[in-house]
Amino acid sequence: MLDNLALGFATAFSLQNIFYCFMGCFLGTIVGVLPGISVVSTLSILIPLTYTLSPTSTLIMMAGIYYGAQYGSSTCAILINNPGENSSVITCIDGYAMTQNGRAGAAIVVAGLSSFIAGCIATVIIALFAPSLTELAFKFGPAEYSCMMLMGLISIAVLTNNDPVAGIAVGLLGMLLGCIGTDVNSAISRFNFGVNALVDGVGVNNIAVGIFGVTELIRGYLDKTPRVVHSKLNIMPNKDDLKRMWPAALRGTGIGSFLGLLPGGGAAIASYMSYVFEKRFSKLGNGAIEGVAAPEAGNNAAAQTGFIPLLAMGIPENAVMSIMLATMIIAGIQPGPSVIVNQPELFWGVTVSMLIGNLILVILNIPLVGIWVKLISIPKHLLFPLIFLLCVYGAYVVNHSGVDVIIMLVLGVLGYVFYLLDIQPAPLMLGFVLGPLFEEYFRRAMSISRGSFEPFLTSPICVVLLLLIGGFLILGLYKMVKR
Amino acid sequence: MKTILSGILYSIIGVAGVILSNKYPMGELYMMGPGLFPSIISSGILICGLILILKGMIDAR
Repeated sequence: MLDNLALGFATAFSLQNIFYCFMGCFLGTIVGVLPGISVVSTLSILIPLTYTLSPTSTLIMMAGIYYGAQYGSSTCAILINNPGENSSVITCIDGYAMTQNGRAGAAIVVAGLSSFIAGCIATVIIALFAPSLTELAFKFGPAEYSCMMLMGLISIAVLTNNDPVAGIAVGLLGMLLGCIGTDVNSAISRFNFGVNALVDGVGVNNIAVGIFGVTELIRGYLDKTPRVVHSKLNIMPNKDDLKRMWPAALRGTGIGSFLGLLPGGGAAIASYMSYVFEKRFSKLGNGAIEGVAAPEAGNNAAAQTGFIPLLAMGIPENAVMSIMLATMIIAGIQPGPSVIVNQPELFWGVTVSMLIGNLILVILNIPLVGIWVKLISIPKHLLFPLIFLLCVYGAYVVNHSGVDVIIMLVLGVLGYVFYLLDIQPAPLMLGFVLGPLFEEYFRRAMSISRGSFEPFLTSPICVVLLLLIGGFLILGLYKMVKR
Repeated sequence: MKTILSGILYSIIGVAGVILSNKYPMGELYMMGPGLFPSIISSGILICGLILILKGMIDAR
C-alpha cells in the first residue's frame, strides 16, 4: 500500500503529469463555466490529441476535466442561474438566491471549498476501495463479465431515460454501431457498405463528437436564455457560513461517493440526491449556504469515485466514463482488474493526481473567479462557430478522412433528432464502447460452455447480477406503468 | 406523438439491422458467427420500437 502510494506520488508529481493535470483542471473549469459545452463533448474532441500521450497522462488530464467541470459549473449556476453542466442544475436554486441577496461571493467560495473537501475525501476512498474491488473482479470469468456489462448497460438505460424502453433501444443502437467494422473472431468486415473508412469501425470520437458535441451546439445556439452577469463578488463568507458549510459538505460527500460507485450514477444524480437529502437537515430554497455546499460536494465526490468501477473492473458507469474507457482501449490497455496490478503507475498516478488537481482547482476557482466570469459574457456567435470548427477538425485529423467528418455530422443530426424525441443519448455511448467487449466475452463464454447457458445459472456472481438486471427491468416496467 | 415517432425510427433501424446481419454467417451458439450478435441486437431494437409504437398509441387514446 505504502509502496503503491509512493509510486503514485512519484508518477503524479512528474513535471509532465503536473502539467497535464493543470491543463485538465484549467480546461475543465472553462467547460464547466460555459453553458452549452459539456464534459462529454470536450473529452471526445480531445481524444485525437491524446494519441501521442502516455495513457497515465491522458487519464490524469481527462479526470481533471471531469472533476474540474464540477467546480466551474457552480460559478455559472450561482451567477446567472444557468448551470454550466447538468450536475449543477440544483445548485441554481440556493446559489442564485444567494446572488440575489448580494452574497454571490460567499456562495462561490463555499461551492469551491465544499468541492475541495469532497475531492480530498473521495481520493482517499478510491485509494482504499478500488484495490479490494479488483480482488473480487479477478474471480470474474467471461460469463461473469458479460453479465456485469449487461447490468451496467440496462441500469443506465433504465435510469437515465424517462422512458425505459427508449433507453434500452438507444443502448442497443450503440451496440449495433459498435458491430460496424472487422469481427474479431472471424475477421469478416461487417456493415462497411463498401466504404473503406468503415472497415476498422466508426471512431469513438466521431460518435461522441457527433451525438454530444454537435447536438449541444445546435441546442445551445437555439437557446435564447439571456446571460445577465452579476459582477458584485467582493463579499466573502463569514464564520457562520463556514460553520454551516462543513456538515452539509460532508453529507454531500457521503451521498456523492456512494452514487459515483453505482452504474448509472454520476455527478448529476449525485448533486440532485445530495440536495434532496440535505433538505431533511436544513431549510433550503431561499439562499441557504447548505443548498450550495451539499450538491457541490456531492457532484465532485461522484465525479471522482466513478473512477473506481472504471479502473478496478473496466466497467464505465456513465457516458463520461465510457469515453475514458475508450481512450484506455485506444492506448492499448485491456480494461479489467489487471490494470491496477499490471499498471500500478496508471491507477495510483491518477488517484494521487486528484489531490493535486483539487488544490489547483481551489486556486483557479476562488481567487481567480473574476476571469471565468468574463468568459461567460463571450457572445455565442463568436464562441460556437469556433467550437464547431474544433469538432470538424477533431473528426478529420485522426484518419485525414472526409468520410469521418460526414459520419460525425450525420450522427450530430441523429443526436438532435434524439433530443427532439426526448431521448437521452448517454446509453448509446455506453453501448458503443461496451458492445464489442460484451460480444467478445459472451462469445467466449458460449464457446467455453459449448453453447449452453448453464454457467450463467450456476455461477453465484452471475446469478446475483442477473437478479439485479431483473430488478432494473422491473423498475423500468414500474416507471412505464406509473406514468 | 414523440413516442410513436421514436418507435417508428427504432423499428426501421431494427429491420434494417436484421436484414443486413443476415448477409453474414450465423454459426451456432457454441461457435457464434459474425452475423448472430448483430441480428440479436437488431431484433431487440425492433422489439423496443414496436413496444414504443404500441405504447404511444395507447397513450394517445
